[in-house]
Formats: sequence, C-alpha cells, structure tokens
Amino acid sequence: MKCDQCDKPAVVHETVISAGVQTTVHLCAEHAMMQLHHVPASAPIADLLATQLSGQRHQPACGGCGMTLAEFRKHNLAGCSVCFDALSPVIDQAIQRAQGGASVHCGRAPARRDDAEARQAYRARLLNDLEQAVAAERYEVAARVRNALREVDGVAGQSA
Amino acid sequence: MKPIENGGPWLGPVGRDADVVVASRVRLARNLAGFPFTSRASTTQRREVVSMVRDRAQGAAWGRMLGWVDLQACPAERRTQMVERHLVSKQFAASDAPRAVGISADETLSVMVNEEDHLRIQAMYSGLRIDECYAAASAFDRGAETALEFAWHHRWGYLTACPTNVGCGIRVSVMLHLPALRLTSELDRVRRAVRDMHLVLRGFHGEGSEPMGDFFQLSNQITLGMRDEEIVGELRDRIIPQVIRYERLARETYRSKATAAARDRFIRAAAVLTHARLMPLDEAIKLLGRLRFGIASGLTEAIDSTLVHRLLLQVQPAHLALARPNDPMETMEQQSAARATLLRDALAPLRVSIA
Repeated sequence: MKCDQCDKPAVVHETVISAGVQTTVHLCAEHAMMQLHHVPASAPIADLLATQLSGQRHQPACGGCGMTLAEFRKHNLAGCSVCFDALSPVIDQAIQRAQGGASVHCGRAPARRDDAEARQAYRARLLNDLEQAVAAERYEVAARVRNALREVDGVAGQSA
Repeated sequence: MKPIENGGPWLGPVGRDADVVVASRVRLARNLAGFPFTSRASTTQRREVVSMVRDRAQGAAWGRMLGWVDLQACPAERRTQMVERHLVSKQFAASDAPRAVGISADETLSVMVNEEDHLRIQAMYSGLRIDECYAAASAFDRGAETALEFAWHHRWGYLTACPTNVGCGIRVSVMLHLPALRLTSELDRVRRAVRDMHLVLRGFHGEGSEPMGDFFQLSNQITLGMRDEEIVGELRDRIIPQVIRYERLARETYRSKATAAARDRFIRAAAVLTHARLMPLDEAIKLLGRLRFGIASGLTEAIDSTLVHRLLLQVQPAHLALARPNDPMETMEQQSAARATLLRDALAPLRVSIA
C-alpha cells in the first residue's frame, strides 16, 4: 500500500477517530516522522503538550537496547537482536525494501541451532507467508518460501 | 604483526580472467548473540567482544592463522596502510572505539571485530576466484560458530545492524578493470543493467569512493531469500562472465576503430610515468590503469600487470611514507616527488622499450 502523501510504500497505518468520524491514514517512514514532529505554530500550549505526550506514548522502543523507531528510521541501523521483533513491522518493511522484496531467509544456519519451539513458530510463519505469496500471485516469492519450508522440515527430520 | 613486503597474493595476475578481473572478495557479516550491535555497545562491551573473538580464535585450529592488530594501539599510518590493502574499511580505521583486526600471514583472510557488525570476515584473492574466497571465509565462519554464538533469527537469518546485510550476511565483490567500456561510453548501460539485477558498481575503494583508473567494484546487494551458493553462483557463472564479455568486446571495438589512438594513449601514459618529477595520486592511478590496459592489449612485454598491481598499492600515501621513512613527506609536493621517483625507478624497463 502506498503512502497517502507520496508514492513510497506505507509503513505506518493509523486509524483516527475525530468528532465521531473514523479515518485511516497510511504513511511512509519519512511522512510518518514528519507527522510525529509537526506541530502548528498557532497550537495552544495544552494541545502542544498533548501532541508531544501522545507521540511519546506511541513511540515503541526496543527492550534490548532502547532503540526507538525514530532512531532506527534516522540511521537505518538496528541496535541489537531484539530490535528485529520489537520494532516490527517497521523494521520488516525496511528489510524487505533493502532486499528487493525478499521476506524470509533461506540457506545456511548456525550449526548449533536446535530449538524445536522456535522452529515450529518459524514454520507457522512460513506457511502464512506462503499463503500470502500465492494469494498475491507472487510465485517467485512463494517458491523461495516453499524451499525454506522444506529446509525447516529437513532439519526437523534429521534431528527427530 | 608486520605487513608483507609487496602486498597480498591477490595482487598477482593469477586467476581466471585476470585481463579484466583484478581481484575477488567475499565478506560475511556476523554478530554475537547477547551483545548490542557495535553502534549501541558500550566501550566495555566492545572490549569484551574483541577479547572474546580474539581469545577463542587464537586457541583454535580455525582461527590460529590470524595475527591480531589492536587498532587503538596502532599508529595512524599503519591503519591507513591496511585500508589501502583492503584489509580493513575506511570507517573502521578512522573510529576511535575498541576494535581489532585479525589478518592471516598471506593477507588473504582478515577479520574485523567491531566494524558495523561484530565480525566482518573477508577473504580476497587475485583474478576471478570467488569460490576460493567463499571457501576461506566460510571455513573461518564455520569454525567460529563452534566457539561463538551468532545472532540469528528464524525469519531473517543472520542478524546484522544494517537491513542490507540481513540473511546470509554475504557480500561478494569483484574488482574489475573496465577501461574499454568507459572509452566507448558503454559504462552507464552496464551500470543500469547490473542495478536491475540488484547489483552495484562502485569505485576503487568500494562504498562512497570514486572510480579511479577505470577500476570498479561489482557487488551483490541482496542477501536475503537466496542461499550463499546461489549468490556466489549467479555472480560467478552469469553476471561477471557477461560483464567480462562486454569489456572484451568493447576492447576489440576500440582497438580496431582506434588502433593509433590506443597505442598513443599507452605511450603517453608510459612517457609521463617514466619521466615526471611530481606525480599526484589520482594521476598515478589513472596512468597505471592505462598501462594495465596496454599490457592486456599486447602493447608491451617490458613489464607485466603484477608490477602494475604492486605499484597501485605502493603509490598510496601510507605505503609511500612507510616505505621511505627517511624521506620528507610533510607536504603534498614532497609526497608527489617521492611517488614520481618510485614510479620512474620501478618502470625503468618501460622507459627503454618506448624510447
């Protein structure tokens, strides 16, 4: 989905209810940032405080290293391993944009990995990705996800 | 550890397709689980990362071949020399935080600790030898993961600070000499074509550097959703051979349409290099690039491209200063004079042959 204000992909989707009217806003990273910091010059002080406070409340931060979305957007660098889940889906979008749309790793993994629970969660996510890719007729992506699935199953089969 | 006299074996003309491909490099990015990535790590954490990686490498067969350099204790000139040899990145040499690099005795393998990622494992060989680079980097990686736990995510694979490296963390780069594609104005077409294939063509020293002497680096951009072997294979079997074919075709076209001009270009470069008294760096690289093209075109047998590759390194500022510790090198003019002397001496056989 495109940003409401430009042609870039939207990464922030916000539903606002104002005076009983519900509207949904889709913004790219840059416009979302601008929106967050934009305060009209004539705004009364109470509104200004409210805007700042709500901005802070909705600004997720990584529990691992304290990286905020704003910091991630500014430098386009993750701070630690936890960021990849804590800053999702913004970080997901950034990765997919940088990686030509690819959405899942396939191939080599550290030899010492053997946690069955994490693998099951990963498998479930892959199945979901496969379904979405097929629905969107993105067959190249679907083929890669299918390969990744085979790989997960192969690993599970070996360790069983 | 002392740097080897004439630079690493990647400077030699050995290797497939050495007329176009100068060198190949494979780099793997890895981070240690349980530590923030370098940019968020405290000084203490960075020190811990350095000693953890160095200690475990030193005590094991997979890492014992590396000699370690503590960058904080390393003089600026030696750090620049390592950048000139492509052993460390510019940013890595310039930072003042705790960091170290492990380098194998033949300088084909280097491991930067606390670059943008905790580990940047890179292997480099002359000519088109991506497989050997991958095997060397991969062997270190496989060994290291038996002693260190790497940051890993079930969806994103190996985790890296920058989204552009997530997945395999692999960057395959090939340094190409493309004088004919530039002379025939075909370079932009190649640049667009490789961009469409998610590759990037950069200057002499990689990211953010300007092309000098018609030397370029071609690297993959995508590291997610493809296996290491697919990325390596696609570059080795499909893309690089295609660029080599284009360059060779352009060389033929240029030589057949401009025989006299090609010879004149070479002789002029040789004449300036063997007579000039002052030689700025960018001019030296440009002219050495022309010599290399002349050698590949069979215009001289007085020198070979190994010598040109070695000079490409020796004319760099830190190499120049470290090789001539007694020469005054404070001003650009003094540096230029030392460079011109070096080139006149080294290329003496060429002076005789063009006379």
